[in-house]
Amino acid sequence: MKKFFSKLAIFLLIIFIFQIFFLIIQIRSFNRLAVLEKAKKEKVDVIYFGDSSDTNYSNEDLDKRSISQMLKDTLTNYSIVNISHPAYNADIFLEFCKYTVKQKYYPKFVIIPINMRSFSPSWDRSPVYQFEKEKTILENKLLFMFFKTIEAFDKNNKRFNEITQSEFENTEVFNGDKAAGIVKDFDKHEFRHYSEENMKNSILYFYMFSLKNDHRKLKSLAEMKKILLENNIKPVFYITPIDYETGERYFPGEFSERLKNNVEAIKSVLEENNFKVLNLSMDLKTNFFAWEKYPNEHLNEKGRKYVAEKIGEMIKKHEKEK
Amino acid sequence: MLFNSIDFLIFFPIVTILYFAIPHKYRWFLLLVASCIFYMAFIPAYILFLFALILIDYTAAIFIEKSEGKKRKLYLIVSILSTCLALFIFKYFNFFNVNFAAVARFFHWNYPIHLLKLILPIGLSFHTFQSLSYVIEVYRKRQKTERNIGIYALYVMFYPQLVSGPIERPYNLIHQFYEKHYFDYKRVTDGLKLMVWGMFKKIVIADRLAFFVNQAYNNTGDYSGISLIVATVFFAYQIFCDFSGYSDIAIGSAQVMGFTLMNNFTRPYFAKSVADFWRRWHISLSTWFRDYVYIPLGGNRVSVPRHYFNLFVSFLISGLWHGANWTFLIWGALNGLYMIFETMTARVREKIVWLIRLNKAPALHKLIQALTTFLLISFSWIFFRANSIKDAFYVITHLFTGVSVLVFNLIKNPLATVSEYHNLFLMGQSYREFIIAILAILLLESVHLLQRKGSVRATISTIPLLFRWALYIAIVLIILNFGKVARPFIYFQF
Repeated sequence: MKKFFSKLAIFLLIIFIFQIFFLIIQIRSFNRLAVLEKAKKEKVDVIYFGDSSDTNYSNEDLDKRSISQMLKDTLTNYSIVNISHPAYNADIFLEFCKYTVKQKYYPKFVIIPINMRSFSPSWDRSPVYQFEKEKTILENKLLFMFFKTIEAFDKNNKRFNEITQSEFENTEVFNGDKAAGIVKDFDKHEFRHYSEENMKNSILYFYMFSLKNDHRKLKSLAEMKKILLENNIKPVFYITPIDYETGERYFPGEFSERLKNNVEAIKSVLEENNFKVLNLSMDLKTNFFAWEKYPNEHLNEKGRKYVAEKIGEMIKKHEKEK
Repeated sequence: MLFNSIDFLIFFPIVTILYFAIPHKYRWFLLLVASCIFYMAFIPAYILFLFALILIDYTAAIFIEKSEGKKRKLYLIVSILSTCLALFIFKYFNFFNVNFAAVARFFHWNYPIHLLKLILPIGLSFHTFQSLSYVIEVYRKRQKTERNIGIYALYVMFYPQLVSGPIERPYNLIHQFYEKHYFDYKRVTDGLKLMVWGMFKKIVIADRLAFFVNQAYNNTGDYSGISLIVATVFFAYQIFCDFSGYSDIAIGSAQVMGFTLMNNFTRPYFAKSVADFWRRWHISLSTWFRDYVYIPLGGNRVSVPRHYFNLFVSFLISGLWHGANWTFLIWGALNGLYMIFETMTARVREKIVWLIRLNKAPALHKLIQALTTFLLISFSWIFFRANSIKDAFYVITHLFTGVSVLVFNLIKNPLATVSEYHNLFLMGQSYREFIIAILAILLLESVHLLQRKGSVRATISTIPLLFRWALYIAIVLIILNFGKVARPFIYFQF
């Protein structure tokens, strides 16, 4: 028995060492964190957080650069780092901000897009858009190592499985305050095929909710603002443009009204003491967008340029105010 | 308690260490307490129901042993009926009720009986069958009654095989509880190796494939053609790795403590016929049906039509055993029909093989046989996995949609076709996941190929220590880093 236990101990020790090695590789492969750490070393002035609306383009675009790259045309005196990923949202941006200040890195500005769709259940509740592992790495690397090691044996692990697929599918979908069904009725593969009915359902699912002040993503935005301001970092929040023209076509009168109310809800949480949110939600018409079959906020060259200019103007304005 | 859970990773070493640490006379009690804890991890109150079943069969067996003639038979019938009644109430009542209500509606009868809202006790079908085999064996005078109710309870509840088998026979298991098991280094490490291999099959392969299969089979209307083919083949491997993985962990954990449980799987997808498949798949259940249903019905020692009837009925009941749903019944019936067809055409097929001289190329012959069997079995899995009969028929009718165009394009321009159609294979998962799944299946089948020449564990033990340890460490690291989030074993629902 002695022989068995001594061999087992050696075996487990080797497993432990190799596991640490693998986990370090996994942490290193989180390249957005590597970008942030490099930015800290280089003392970059502006962090631009983004989702797919930053990088997506139209095939007809001559200039396929992202919004953050275009921003460099306006803010020539600033160094800018881009931390974008499709479906990134306020929750993970908050963890990035916490990590940034914890690392004693204080850039001048942090630009944060507020994508209206990110409040809808399609995004807010989707298990694949929670980025739990990334958030845990940002929170505490040792915690990540522990949870990653036991992941396959821990069916109740809420840290890496915040929202289960079935919880997501059973989430209620609202049109304003009226229940319109559950996610399962809307989050269907077939909705990716264009038809008038699918389009109307998708728009309802993505944008027709009524945003409440206690929405968890709004809370994350408010916390982010607090942390950044406390550390003398200027947050620049902008509400991404929505193709309201198409929305109006399917929900005449209702779409713009709902959008305005939801923007007001965001402002009521974030705007105080002269702090302003850059609202671009209804600035651009359909011809500034790059989507065809599936409604989203992806912009074409003109659209991205417009957003970059507006953000640039806001930062310059803040600089003057200083 | 799931085998692939942290709870079990803590529970198992504690129970095993205590088992070897305490005197032999108390070990059965320790195992009984441990089995109760294991069972109560699901729904604690159900242990009372399990105790009641144990008490009924324990008492019935004593009465059976004491009596002769009609009385003896009566006690057997009472025992079988009470066990089957429990099974019926929990598992089949709602199914029969719904179908009877549908018939009643058709004839405009008044049928006011409502559905029962009961959660199926975990492993009910397994431990009830194990209890049944005990009373039947006592009735057949092949097994003496077990007078120590604790040992009998342990026979029904022995935690490694309590919830998903293997379904043991009393003459295989009960005597082992009386034997003194010493700590044997080779046996313990062999058991642990088997457990790790079972974990690999479950966590790395089955739970990974589940993502592909669930996506396609839970949204059947969204998929067709190659996606459904991939999902169906993946399900064949998912269910094999899920269930045989469970069996490996069960057999391995029992082996660590010195118990030998029966083998449940022997490379089933290498089977050369459907009959051969059923000799290799879920062996403890197949032999249960053979011993207690098929042979009592007369087996093959009856007229030809009656033999076919016996085959069909055995498989139909096996289908119903798996679940109270028409999909399982059709799955069972389909396998029964395969068996009948195979028996009917055995001579014709032999002649064809001889005529086309396939017997001169035995390797090719075996390959064709194995592939045909795999396709037939995979086809039947469609009914097993589909959520409804409607879904199953959708899968069958859309299995080849667009496949000819895809094959034509693949021949014409493979790279462009793969890049254009890759989403059809991926079903919402990443390339990485798909490649890991394929590699894991290849590894599994390579191990099966090696197993044909003897025990892989024995072969590995002959290679130099450094390579052997590297292999063990690699497998554990693969489980930790490429394992998917724990899901219950598929067979838990039965």
